[in-house]
Amino acid sequence: MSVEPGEGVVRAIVRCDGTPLPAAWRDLDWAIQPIRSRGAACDLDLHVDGLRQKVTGQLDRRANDLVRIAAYAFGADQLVSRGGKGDPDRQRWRRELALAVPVADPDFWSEDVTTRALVETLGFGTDDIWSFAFAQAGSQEEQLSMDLHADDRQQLAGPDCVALLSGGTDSLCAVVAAVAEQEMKPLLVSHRSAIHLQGPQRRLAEGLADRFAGWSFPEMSFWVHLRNREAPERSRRTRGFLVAALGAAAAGQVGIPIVLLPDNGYVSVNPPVNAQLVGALNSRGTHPAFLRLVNDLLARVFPDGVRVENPLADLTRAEALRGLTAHGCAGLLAETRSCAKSRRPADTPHCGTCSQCVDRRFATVAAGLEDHDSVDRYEVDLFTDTLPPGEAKTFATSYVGFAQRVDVRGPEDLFGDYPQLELCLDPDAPAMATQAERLADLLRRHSAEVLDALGVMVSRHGGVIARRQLRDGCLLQLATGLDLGATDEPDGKESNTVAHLELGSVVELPVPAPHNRPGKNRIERYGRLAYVVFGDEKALVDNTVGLRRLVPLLKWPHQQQDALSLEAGSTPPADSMSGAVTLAQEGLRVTGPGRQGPRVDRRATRDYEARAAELRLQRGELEATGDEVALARIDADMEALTDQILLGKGKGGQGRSWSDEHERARTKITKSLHSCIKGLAKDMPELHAHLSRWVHTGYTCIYDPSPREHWDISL
Amino acid sequence: MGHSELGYMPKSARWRVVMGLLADPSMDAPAVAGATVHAAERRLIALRGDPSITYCFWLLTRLASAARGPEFLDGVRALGVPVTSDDTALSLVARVADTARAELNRYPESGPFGELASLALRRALTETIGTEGRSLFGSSVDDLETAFRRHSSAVQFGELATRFFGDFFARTLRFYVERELQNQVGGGALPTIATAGDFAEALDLHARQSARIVEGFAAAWYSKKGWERQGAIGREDAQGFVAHALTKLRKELLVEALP
Repeated sequence: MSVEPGEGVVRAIVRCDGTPLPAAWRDLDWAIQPIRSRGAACDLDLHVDGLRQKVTGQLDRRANDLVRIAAYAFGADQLVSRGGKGDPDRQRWRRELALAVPVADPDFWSEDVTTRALVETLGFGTDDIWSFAFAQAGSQEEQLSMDLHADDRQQLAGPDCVALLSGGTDSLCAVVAAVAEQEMKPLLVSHRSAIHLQGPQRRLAEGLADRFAGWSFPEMSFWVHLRNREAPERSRRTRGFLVAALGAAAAGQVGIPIVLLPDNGYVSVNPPVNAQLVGALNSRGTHPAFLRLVNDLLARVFPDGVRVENPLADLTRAEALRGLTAHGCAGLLAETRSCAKSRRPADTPHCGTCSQCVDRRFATVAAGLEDHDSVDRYEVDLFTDTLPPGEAKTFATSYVGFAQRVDVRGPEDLFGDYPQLELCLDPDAPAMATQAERLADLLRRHSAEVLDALGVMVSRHGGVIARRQLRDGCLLQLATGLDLGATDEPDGKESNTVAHLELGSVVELPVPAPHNRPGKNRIERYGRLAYVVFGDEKALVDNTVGLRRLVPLLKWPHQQQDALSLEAGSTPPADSMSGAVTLAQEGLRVTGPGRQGPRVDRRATRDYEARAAELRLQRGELEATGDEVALARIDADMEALTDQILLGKGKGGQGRSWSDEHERARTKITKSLHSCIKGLAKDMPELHAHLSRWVHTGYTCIYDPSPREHWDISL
Repeated sequence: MGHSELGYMPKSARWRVVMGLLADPSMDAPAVAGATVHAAERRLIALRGDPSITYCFWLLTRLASAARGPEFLDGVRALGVPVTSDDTALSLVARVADTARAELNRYPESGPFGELASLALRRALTETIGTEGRSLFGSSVDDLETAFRRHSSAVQFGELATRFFGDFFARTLRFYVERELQNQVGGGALPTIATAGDFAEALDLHARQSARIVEGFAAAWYSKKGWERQGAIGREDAQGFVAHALTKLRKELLVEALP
C-alpha cells in the first residue's frame, strides 16, 4: 500500500461572482463552490463603514482587488471542510483550493511573481495549496462599497499609521503605546464578522478618544462575512491575510506607510504547546514568517510602500498590558474581548478555557490587572474550577506544561526540541543568532510569568489548599500537585469506615475491607466514553443509559432503589441512606423513596420477618442478663424493621400492588441494566460476573456485593 | 489570532485501547507506542510511499554526500538551497528548512506528516552539529560541513538516518497520543502536568531507541547506493529506503509492546 498522488485530499474550485473558469479547470473532477458578493443570492457580505460614512471616493484598483481576493479567500476557506477534529490523521486538513476571481487588473495579478507571492502567503497561513485564475471584473466588482478618496487624509487630520483594532487586549495595548510613547495618530481599522463585535470595538475607540484628547481616533470597519449559509469550516486560517489586506488597503489609499497588526510575541509565534499542533493547526495570522510573506506581496501591490508591522512582537501579553497601567488606560481593559468563541453572553464574555482566554487570564494576573479583568467575567475560573475534559483541559494543561519545559531549557535546547521556532527567524536579516536568542528570551520570560502567576494563585488560595478543599481537577492542583486526593485520609490511606446509625448517634464502624486490588474500582467519564476499572480489569466502554442507571446502585450499595427513581435519574437522599446502610449491614434490604412512598418487595419482607424473629429470640436471652444498652439497640432495630415490614404490606397484610407506571419502569430499568452488564462480558469478564451475581433488578433494584466493594464514580 | 485546533481520539476499538493504556497506572511507554502504531496502522503503512518523507530523507543523504565533495556550498546550492558564503550554520539550517517547505507544499496528501518530516530533518541537522560539541547559535557553515563530513561515511550515516527516523516516529507518536494524554492528568497515573511531560519524554526516548533498528541497514544502503550513484543518490532510491525503514520501525514498535 502506498499513497497515491493526492489521495484523500479535499479539492474544490471556488467560482467567485460567476467568473468564467479557465479551460484547464473545466476537466478537473473537483467540487465547484460558487460565492456571490452581490445580488439576491449574495452569500459573501463585503462592505465598509467608513469614518462614520462621511467620506466618499473610490479605492485604488489594486487595493480594491487585494481586498476582494482576501475576502473571496476568506469565504472559500469557510465553505470547504477540513474534515473535523475527529480525524486522527488530519488527512483532510490540507486542501487544494482553486479560485476564479474577478479583478480590475488581471494582468498584474496574473504575473508569475505576484501570483507566487499571493499563493505562498496564503499557503503558509493556511496549510492549503492555493491557485488562482484572474478575469477582468465588471464595473460592479470595481465599485467596492468601501469609498475613500486620496484627499481624505486631510479630512482625517493627518493620521500617520493604520492600526488594526480587533477589540482584544493586544490591539488596545498597541494603540495606547503608539499614541502615548510615539505620539502617533492611528486610523483604527477593524474587521467585523458579526454584529456583536461592533459594540466593544466602538466603546474601545470612544474610551481611547476620552483618554487622549488630542486625537479623534477615526474608525473604519470592514464587514466581511458569509451570509445566508452555515460555514462548514470554522478554523478560518485566512483571517490573518484578510485583516492584513484590509489594513494595507486603507493605508495605501490615504498614503500611510505603516500598518500596525498587533499580537503579543508569544501568541504570534504560537508555540507548539501540544505535539498534535503541527503547522497551521496553530494559527499563523501574525507569525513573523507570515508577515514577511505579506510584506513581499504588499511591496508589489503598493509600489509607494505599505508595510505591516507587529509592534508587540518582542513583548509578552503581560508586558504589553503593563503599558496600559503606565499610560492610565488600565480601565479600558474591561472593554476588551479576547475569547476565541465569539458568541458569548454579555456578562461572561470569556469562556476561560480557550487558548486566548488562558493566555489572557495568566497575563492579567502576571501584570497585576485583575481589578480590571474580573474573574466573574469568565465562565470558568481557570485556576480553581474543575477543568472540563476535552479541549479545555488539554489546552490549559499543555500551556502550563510548555511553560514548565521552557523554564528549564537553555536557548539552544529550545531550538533543538522545537525546531519549528526556526521558522520565526529571518535568514536574510543579519545576526540570526541574536534573533534566536531574543526569541528564546521572550519564551522564557513568558514561562516565568506563567509560573509566577501560578505562584500568586497558590498563595491566594493557600487557606483552601490547607483545608484540602481545592476542587478536584482544577489547574492549581494539576500544575502543583497540591491538595491531591483531598478526600483521602491524611496518611494517604482511604477511609475504611462508614457512618452507622446507632441509638440515634452517628459513630464510625469498621466495614469489611474491599478485595485486595491494585487500584480502586472506579468509573470516570472520558469524552463520550466511560473508563471503568474493576480490580485488574480496565476498559473504555460506551457511556450508555444502562451504565448511567447502574451508577446510583454502585454508589449506594446494599440499598434498594425503586425502578421509578432510577428511571427518573434521582438519587437517594442522605437521610434515608444512613438508615438504609444500617439495615443493609444487617443483611437486609430497604427501598429508597419512590414517587408513591417507600416500598419493600416480598423477598425483602421475608428477610425482615426472619431477622425480626432472630432479634426476638436474642431479646429474650438478653432480658435475663439485664444488659440495658444491648436491649435498647435490639429494640431500635426491631422498630426500624417493623416499619419496613408494615410499609411493604397493604390491606389485610397482602403485598402492595405496583402501578402500571412501576411496571413500565421495572421493565425499562431491568432491560437497560442487563444490557449494560451483558455488554461488559467481553472486555471485563470479572466485572460482568460480579455484577451478574450482585445486581438484582425488579420493582426495586439493589447492588448487594459481599464482601463490600467501594466505587469512585465521576460520570 | 493565536487559535489552536485541537483534536480528539476516535472511538474505534483500537484507539480505545490506547486511551485505556493512557489511563493505566503503569504508564507503559512501549505499550502505548505499540498500541498507537496499531491504531494508526493504516495511515502509517500508507506513509511508506509518502513523497514528503522521501524528500526530507533524500535531502539529508545529499547534504551528507555534499560534505564529501570538494565544494560543500556548491553541492548544497545544487540541491536548490540558496546558501551564501555569509551564512552561519543556523541560517543554513533555516534555508534548508525553507527549501524543504517549498517542496513539501506540492504534496497536500502528506497532511501533517510532511511537516513532521520537515521537523525531523531540522532536528537531525541541529543534532548533528551538536555531536561535534559545537553550539548551534555559534557555529559556522564550515562547522556544519565538518560535522556532515564525519557523517558521510557509511557507519556514521547510519547514525544520521537513525536520528531522522527516530525523531519522525517520536513526533508521530506524540502527534496522536497528546490528543488524550493531557486529559489523563489528575488521574492516578499522571497526578500532575509535569508527570504527563515526563511520560511524553519517555515515549519520545522509546521511539528514538527503537529507531536503532534501521542503523545497520542504513549504513549498508548508503554505502551501496553511494558507490553505485557516485554520491548522487536519487529520490527513487530514497523512497525505497524510506518504505523499508518505516516498515521496520513500525514492526519494531509493535514487537516491543508485547509482554
